[in-house]
Amino acid sequence: MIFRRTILFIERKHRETVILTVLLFLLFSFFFSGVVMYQSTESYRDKALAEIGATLQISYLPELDESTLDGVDQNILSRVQSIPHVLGVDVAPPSLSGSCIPLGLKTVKTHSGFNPEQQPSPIYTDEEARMESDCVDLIGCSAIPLRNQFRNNMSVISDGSFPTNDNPGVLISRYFAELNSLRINDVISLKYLYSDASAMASEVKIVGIYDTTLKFEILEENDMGVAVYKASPYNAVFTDFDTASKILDRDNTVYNFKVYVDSPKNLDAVQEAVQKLPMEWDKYKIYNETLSFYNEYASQIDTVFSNSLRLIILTSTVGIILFMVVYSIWNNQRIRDIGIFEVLGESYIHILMIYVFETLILSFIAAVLSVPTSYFLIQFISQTNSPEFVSSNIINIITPYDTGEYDINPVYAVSIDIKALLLLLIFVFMIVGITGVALMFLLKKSKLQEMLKAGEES
Amino acid sequence: MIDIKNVSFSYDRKRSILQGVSVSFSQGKTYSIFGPSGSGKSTLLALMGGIITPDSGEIWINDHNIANLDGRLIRRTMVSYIFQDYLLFPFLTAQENVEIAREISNPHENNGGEKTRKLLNELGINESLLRKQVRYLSGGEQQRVGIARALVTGNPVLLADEPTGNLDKATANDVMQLLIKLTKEYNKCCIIVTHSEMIRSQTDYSLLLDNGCLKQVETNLK
Ligand SMILES: Nc1ncnc2c1ncn2[C@@H]1O[C@H](COP(=O)(O)OP(=O)(O)OP(=O)(O)O)[C@@H](O)[C@H]1O
Ligand SMILES: [Mg+2]
Repeated sequence: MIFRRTILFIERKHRETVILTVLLFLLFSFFFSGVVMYQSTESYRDKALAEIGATLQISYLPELDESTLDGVDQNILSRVQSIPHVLGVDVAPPSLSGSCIPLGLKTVKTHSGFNPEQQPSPIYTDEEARMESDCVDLIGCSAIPLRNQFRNNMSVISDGSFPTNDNPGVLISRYFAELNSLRINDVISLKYLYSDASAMASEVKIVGIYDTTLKFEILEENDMGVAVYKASPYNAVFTDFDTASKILDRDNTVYNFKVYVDSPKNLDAVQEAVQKLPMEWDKYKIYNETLSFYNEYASQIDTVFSNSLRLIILTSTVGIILFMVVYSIWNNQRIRDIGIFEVLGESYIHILMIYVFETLILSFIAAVLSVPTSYFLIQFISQTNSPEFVSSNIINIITPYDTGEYDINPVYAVSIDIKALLLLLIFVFMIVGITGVALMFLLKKSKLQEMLKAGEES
Repeated sequence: MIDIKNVSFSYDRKRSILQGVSVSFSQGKTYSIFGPSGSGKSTLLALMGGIITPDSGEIWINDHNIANLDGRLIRRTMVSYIFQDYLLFPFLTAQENVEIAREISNPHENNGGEKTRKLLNELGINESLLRKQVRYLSGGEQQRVGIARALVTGNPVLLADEPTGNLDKATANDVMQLLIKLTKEYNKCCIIVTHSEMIRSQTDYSLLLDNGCLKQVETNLK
């Protein structure tokens, strides 16, 4: 009965109903957009920081040349390895990788996004591009499990094991394996694309196959043309350091190395310990990769993060105040109506329920409408090119697969999850609660005789 | 029906409005109360419906001392008000206004909607007016709705505070005739506060409230 009466009130006071609903709708839309952006950037930031990991890069000074260097001693590397908090050392980067022709095998050409055939590739001649598109990307590395995609479980070994110097061979993707009906212990021939015509292909054993959840999306601004296929995570072939130097016909002297640390907190301590090792420190320099990556990318996410937080706080305070102001436009009418109810002998609880139900129903309608609207609102915010919010940089912050300079994946996804909906619900109840408490205050405090006079001025 | 025993009241404990008022009202009779402005007529009505409580003295309705009852209960089951400015929900229709009062007083009544309609028709609110929001009705029509709202509850006491004060003479007369007629028909006790000589002559009893005391009682009963 009370519910029916509430509906009647909402229906009859249509002007008030529409104005309040629209107001609530705007309030909820902005609030919910803020919450969704906040949450999306929060999880994105965590992911970004995980992707960046905690690494130090030890490289020779840029003005020097490999021919003038002796290389890093094996003994040094094992001492680095035993520094506390060090997860591993990768001795290959950045140079020990290259395009290889997998003799007699096909490469994976599946992708989403733009058609690379229709994209110009100014950095390759067409012939080179076509050759590269049939190549796999051989990545030599002494710490494969520590690379982003394996460290973050986006790629997982499903068959066999990681190649190491003691277990030499290659690790290929399941896509590539299935396309060519390859199995563990099969032997494939790889030939470095830019080796001499007379050079022989190297035979290598498959020691591992990995499954990956990485998506290969080709962006509009892809400048590799069809050659981009080589960069597909499905065409990546990982191998140990020695095998890589053999196939790529490069000297296996270590000139640079990367140190993986368990947490960004411990980077300073590790850096200090590395610096104490007897290396030619006049020729080498330690780069805090985490910090520079952070400054380059993650701080932008932080900006989005704090801006969406600001949006939430701003809209909720301004919105609630605005709502209360507009709500109080009809206060005299409302006080008089409550007075009428009291004169008719209606109970305190019933009167309260009518008005609480009223805001509850309006809020729910507004909240339901605000969810899809927020979706468009976020799109709008991200498309108006306001870099503080969802800047295009964010789209390209993380390349899940280290391809060097070009941008592949992942797209910044706005996801509306249960937690965001729950927060919206809490916000709805907060509004209802505030009006309920305000009303309770009014009911308790006012004298009936005065309440009945309230309508007179309006 | 209603027994007021030596009731005194003041709003601010300084200036007393009513001083030792004692009076009885009975069922099926109409009463008018008159007196100068500010003499406490409205205050007396408010006391009878439990809107305010006396400083001293007792008010009994149907053998209940209303000091022991919740004001809402009194207004739900014993006393209905009719106001000078009608006090209807302006955004609801005539029928809905009356229906709400009926639901509050008799929530489990069967066929209540029919009863509401009949009552409104009796008061001259025809089918098309029934469905109009009351803010679009004339003053006379609104007060008829107000009377219907008071009668529909089944409460034995009607308290009308200058019910025709906002109406022109002819309309006021019509409305008053109806009110008195229906009061008799439904066997209510009706107490009307009024400045109008004409109304005074139509009620069974007429009381003067002056200086906080009910001073003079005229009888029009033959
Ligand atoms: N809520 C209130 N608080 C304080 N004083 C009040 C209140 N209501 C009325 N009064 C005072 O009490 C006195 C009696 O008021 P009341 O409204 O009962 O007079 P009345 O006889 O109905 O007058 P009128 O004929 O003008 O309606 C007046 O002096 C008025 O100023
Ligand atoms: Mg008065």
